[in-house]
Amino acid sequence: MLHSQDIWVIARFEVVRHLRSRHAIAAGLLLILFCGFGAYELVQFADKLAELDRDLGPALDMIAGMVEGLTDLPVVGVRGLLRQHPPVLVALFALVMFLMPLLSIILAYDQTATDIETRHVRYLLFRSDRISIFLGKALGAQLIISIAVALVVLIFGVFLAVRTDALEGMKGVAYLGRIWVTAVLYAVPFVALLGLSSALFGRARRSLTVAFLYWFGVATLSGLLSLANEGFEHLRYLFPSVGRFDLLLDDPGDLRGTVLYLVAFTLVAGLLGLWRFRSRDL
Amino acid sequence: MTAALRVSGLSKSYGSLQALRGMNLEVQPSQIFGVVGPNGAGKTTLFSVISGFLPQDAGEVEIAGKRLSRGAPPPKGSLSILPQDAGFIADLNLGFQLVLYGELQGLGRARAQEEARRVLKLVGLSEVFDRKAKTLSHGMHKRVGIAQAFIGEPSLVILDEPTAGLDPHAAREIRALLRKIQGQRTVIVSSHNLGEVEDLCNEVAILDQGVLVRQDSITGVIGGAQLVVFRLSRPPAEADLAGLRALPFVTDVAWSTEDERLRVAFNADAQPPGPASRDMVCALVDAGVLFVEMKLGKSLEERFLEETRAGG
Repeated sequence: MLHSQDIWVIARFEVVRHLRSRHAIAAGLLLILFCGFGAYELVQFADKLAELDRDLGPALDMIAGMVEGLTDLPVVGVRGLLRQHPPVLVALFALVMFLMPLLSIILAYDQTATDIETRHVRYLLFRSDRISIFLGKALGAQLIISIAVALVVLIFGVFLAVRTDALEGMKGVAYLGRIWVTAVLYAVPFVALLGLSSALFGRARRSLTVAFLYWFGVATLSGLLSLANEGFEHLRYLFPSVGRFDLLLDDPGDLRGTVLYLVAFTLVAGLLGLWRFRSRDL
Repeated sequence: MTAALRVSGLSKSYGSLQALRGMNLEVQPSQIFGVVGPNGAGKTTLFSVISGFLPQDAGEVEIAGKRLSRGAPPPKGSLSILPQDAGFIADLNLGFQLVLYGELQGLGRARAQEEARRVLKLVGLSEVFDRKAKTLSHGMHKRVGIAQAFIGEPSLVILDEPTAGLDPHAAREIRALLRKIQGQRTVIVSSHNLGEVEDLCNEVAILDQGVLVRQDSITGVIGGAQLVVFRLSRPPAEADLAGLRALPFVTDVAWSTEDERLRVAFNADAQPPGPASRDMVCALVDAGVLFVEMKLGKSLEERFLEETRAGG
């Protein structure tokens, strides 16, 4: 039933379709502007660090404060990271992971929705099976996110390499690679969730709105209910933004729980999306 | 001979509305097969189930002897369809989209590109290969929709109202295209233009309220030569028809102001159709009434109205 060639053909089509769309071009330009501005700020930050010398207390305090502000990681963990890796890149890693839910929603909300809405999917359905179409669209979304994250990492990397010594040679380049791989893998549960939303609602705008409302709803509900009973805090696991900063840590033991949760979330959301896409009238 | 399409006991409901009620249909290969029925008869639902857009509630679909799983697509390259209401991606080049369809039918990229250009040429729209879908008129959109159905030369092509919304020139071109490929593959056409179905198809199925009410060759459906329909140069006076009424084999003579046709029913057992028609023509000419068209047998439209609730 499953046609791997079809999955690849559809994924490639989705990438080109997104790259050629006016929305994607506008979003790409905004992303480049944002990254340029962010990279400029980070370069300023790196310059200050260089003046202070990063082994000194004030430098570490400064960057640790920034990373702690963005993440929910323990102070000890952040300090450890800053000693192990180029501190500016740790800050960049935290920033990328902070933005990943938003970036993923924007880039992956319309997997099958427009195809269902315009019934373009009918030109595909008699040529391929529903599983291959669904997976091809999801792979396409995943590739688009990979390209966007690569762009972000590249812009920051080039700025830092040209303007500062913050990369610290190949060590920094390897760390940039790790940022990219981690962010791309972290996007997988989002692609699964947005695939479900897309198949469920069959309207692009509705899929996007519901994704944001769901994020906001889960955060609000878990926050408010946990005031009454701490057990309700677990509700936040209904949206995969939980534990994403754990992925900055080096020790695989610290990551195991988060990775298992993200894999389980991906499977549940992905299978629900696939079931909906397979069973609905198209 | 293995049927190009066989449908048995097909049922599909939308909530409480039963669109198909145990539909049975068999289409033999290499013919143009018409499917007609009033709105809501189940034509589009039937095509949607065959093509895998909708899973059926019950029943089976076989294409060229291969049974399809519920809601599954037909084997690659075996079936193609012009869906009634599908759209192309507005912001993308049509050529690019057609190449995708070719590749999904199992063609290599280069072959898919050749096919995309070939089918656009087939419908007389070679120039739109690099154009975005949103720049096309409704008629062009429809023709590209027809073009995509011929990518990869599938053995069974379903065209759901291929000429609906087209201007007379474009509709004529599409009919000419279908005549050109007649005999090369099986084409199933649905249309509300019954004259078009009568003109194009070898066989026709009449659907009503989700069931097949009649399936036969066009001549079989139209019903033998028990009726002669005249289109006259002017409305006849009652006296003009006296000669016709006097013929011993004529059973009824009726002038319809609705479509301005004279219908003469006769007993084919008493007088064979050929001599009967000759005698009727003589009777009209003797009365000084000229006719511009004569048709032996009932028109498909009349049979359609008789067979479906619209005629009741």
